[in-house]
Amino acid sequence: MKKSSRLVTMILALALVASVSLTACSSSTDTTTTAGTTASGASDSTAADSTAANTDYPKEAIQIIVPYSAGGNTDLMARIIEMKLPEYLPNSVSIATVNIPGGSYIPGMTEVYTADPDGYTIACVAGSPLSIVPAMGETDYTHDSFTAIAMITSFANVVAVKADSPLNSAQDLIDYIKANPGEFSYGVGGTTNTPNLALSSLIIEEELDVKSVVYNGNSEVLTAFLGGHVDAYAGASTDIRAYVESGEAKIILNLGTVVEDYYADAVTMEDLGYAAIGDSYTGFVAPPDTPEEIILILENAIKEILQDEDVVATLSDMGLQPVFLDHTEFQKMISDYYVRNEEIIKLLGLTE
Amino acid sequence: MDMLLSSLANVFTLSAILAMLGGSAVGMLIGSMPGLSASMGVALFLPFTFGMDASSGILLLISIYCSAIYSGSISAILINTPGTSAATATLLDGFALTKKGKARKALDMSLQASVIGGLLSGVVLLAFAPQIARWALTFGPAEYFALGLMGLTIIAGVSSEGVVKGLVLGCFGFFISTIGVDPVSGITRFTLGVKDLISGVDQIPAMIGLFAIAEMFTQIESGAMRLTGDVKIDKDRLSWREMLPFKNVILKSSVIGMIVGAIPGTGSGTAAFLAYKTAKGSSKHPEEYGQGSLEALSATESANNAVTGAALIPMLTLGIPGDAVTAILMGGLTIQGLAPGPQLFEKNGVLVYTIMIGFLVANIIMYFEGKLAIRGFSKICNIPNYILIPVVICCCLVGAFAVHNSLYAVKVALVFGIIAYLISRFGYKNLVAVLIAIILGPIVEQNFRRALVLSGGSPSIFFTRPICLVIILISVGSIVWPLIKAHKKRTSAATKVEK
Repeated sequence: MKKSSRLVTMILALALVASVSLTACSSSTDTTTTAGTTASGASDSTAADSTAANTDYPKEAIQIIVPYSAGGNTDLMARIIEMKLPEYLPNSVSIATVNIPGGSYIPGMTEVYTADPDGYTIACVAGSPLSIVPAMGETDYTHDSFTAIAMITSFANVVAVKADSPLNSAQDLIDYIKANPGEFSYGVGGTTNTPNLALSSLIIEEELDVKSVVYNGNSEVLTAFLGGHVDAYAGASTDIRAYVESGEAKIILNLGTVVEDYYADAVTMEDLGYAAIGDSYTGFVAPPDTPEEIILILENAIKEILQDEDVVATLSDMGLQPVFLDHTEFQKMISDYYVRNEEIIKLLGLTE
Repeated sequence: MDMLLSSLANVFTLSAILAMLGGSAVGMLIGSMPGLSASMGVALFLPFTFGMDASSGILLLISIYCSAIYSGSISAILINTPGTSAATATLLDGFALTKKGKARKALDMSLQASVIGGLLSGVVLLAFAPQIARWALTFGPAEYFALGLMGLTIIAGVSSEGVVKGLVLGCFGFFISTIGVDPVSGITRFTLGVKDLISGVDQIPAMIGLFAIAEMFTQIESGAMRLTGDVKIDKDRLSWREMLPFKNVILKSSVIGMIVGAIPGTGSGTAAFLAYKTAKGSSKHPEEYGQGSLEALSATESANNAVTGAALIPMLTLGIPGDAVTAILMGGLTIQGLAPGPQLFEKNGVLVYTIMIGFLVANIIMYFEGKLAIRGFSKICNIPNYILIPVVICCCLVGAFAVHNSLYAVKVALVFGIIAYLISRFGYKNLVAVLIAIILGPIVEQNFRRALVLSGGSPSIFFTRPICLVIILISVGSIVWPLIKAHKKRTSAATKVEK
């Protein structure tokens, strides 16, 4: 190849690089790669029309940013809502779910934090991004920076042991640990995730000497727990449910307030005299200063979706119940959790 | 028996077959493009499955997965850039074969070995899933650490430019893997105040930069009109009979792939490297490795596809996702109302068998589509560089973006591309060691720390657990044994000279 054609190649390559970067840079809200609108069910446009009185929102595609990996629980819940929103919003716009995982949820949340407050970019969050991560001091935003939309479900985090373990209750657990300091181990999916912070408040208060083995997420904890490498599982009730039902594990402590059949007898943190902060919520938030009319439209749509039988059935298959909180109550929950989590993080010495 | 028959019926329905045909084709396209990974392909098509019936939906995703893992090797062989991280080991010998004009043989070997690996893992999946799953659970932090360590010893084996350079690159890769949030303590490391670095450096953008983009820069610099220079491309194919001499290597490599696949948290790339190293160690012609050895290719290809079937084992029997792709597959099952877990077999036995049998069928479909694809892909060698290079770079950057839907990964890919290009001028051309360290660094570090937490700080845990001890001994042995052999050779040569 002669020198001139080498130059041409170089320039072409750089030009392509530049054009790709520029296209990606311009924030566009029209990624519409979803086949979710094939869901069955009559279109409930009449219900949605009445609430869209004053604004013509939505008139473009809506993007739901999920700061979690595809396939995980939060992602699935976002997709369930994504599939149903077109039926419950006027103008049958399309909805797209975009996963931006990693980095303690900061990249994903920052994307929504800096997006235009026009209701076309919203985020689906569980507990950590807003009620825990900002307390570590690395984010531009905090728990009440965003405009809350609604909460769709809440589930408890629990502590479980093998079914054949001699420990049958939380008190057994505490007594055992006190009698055998430094022996008992539990696995948890992160140092600053909801179950660990909840359990830590108990550990610090009772001055328990336990081994905390930290993994990357619930499924790694489940693997370690099933293999007998840790004595207890501390994490989402939904992930351990199948094993409780198959008789391999039993839940002995409920770190939150939500109670389901398969652990109805488990002692709760409140029973033990502690604030119960071990619930994980899932909900939607919008960029700061998003107008109230838009929030109300979305909030209402979500409220109705949670009454849809398909949705109730799918959630129930996942071990969840729809629990609706409107935007004011949801924001209050996010902030209440944040305040309590911030204290524990300070006690654990994790902030700089 | 009834369940098997019903599931056979499910697999051979029109929608399932169409799903597999389509999925294989899509997977082959996505996997062969550098930058677009198997998990991205599966994630992209996840929403499509919501409207389909459960079996067809899952089989669609599985076909994409299998084909993508195979087809990453196509671009590794033809243009020296891996299409997926599973194909990084293919780089070691694939392109060398192309330069010798044997691209067609290499491509055939890759396809055939991949299909064999996949089918073997499918048979094992069908026959022994529950038992293997339970066995895989016995791997605790100490064992994962040992496996990671064994993986790191591969660095010595793949460093064609000398062990010291390999170690330097390995250390660099290890350091890169520590950037970001330390999962055990929750504290950020080496982020230099840059918010983006909190996410750390992901292996896919790193791979794209180190191998794909750097290769493109090198090609631009070389000024060649075509990637393989003016070598005539042999039209010789590789028949099944010519595969016979490699049957032992393929069998062993498939077993390695299956073991790695069944253990949650380890992936195709690692399996391919382990198989490469094992094959080289027991080969009659180890000096050919790295110069274009079909035997080496048979090892890496069968291993990385053998992972695919085995990765389904923990997912189907225990509801545990072993990697990003199986996590998405699980999501696909959950949305269909089928919660993966220990009772999936009992409650939905037919579906589970459908998936297993469908997996076997998908691999067979992959073979036939692959044969077609090879005919088309071979022509890529004829495309002039001034078209090929910009297209490849574009795909790479799009793929990097698609990893997290953010430009950060694109920046990572570009930075690594530039680093790789620069250090190649200092003689660091074989960068496989960096990628091995980036992939295995977290496994080694985090599990080492977890094991020590469990043992209360005592290192004896690594020597008292049998599996861990065995793996560590094998790793140490694999480094020490060649040294002993070389020493023996020298002393016997010396005594011969004396006589």
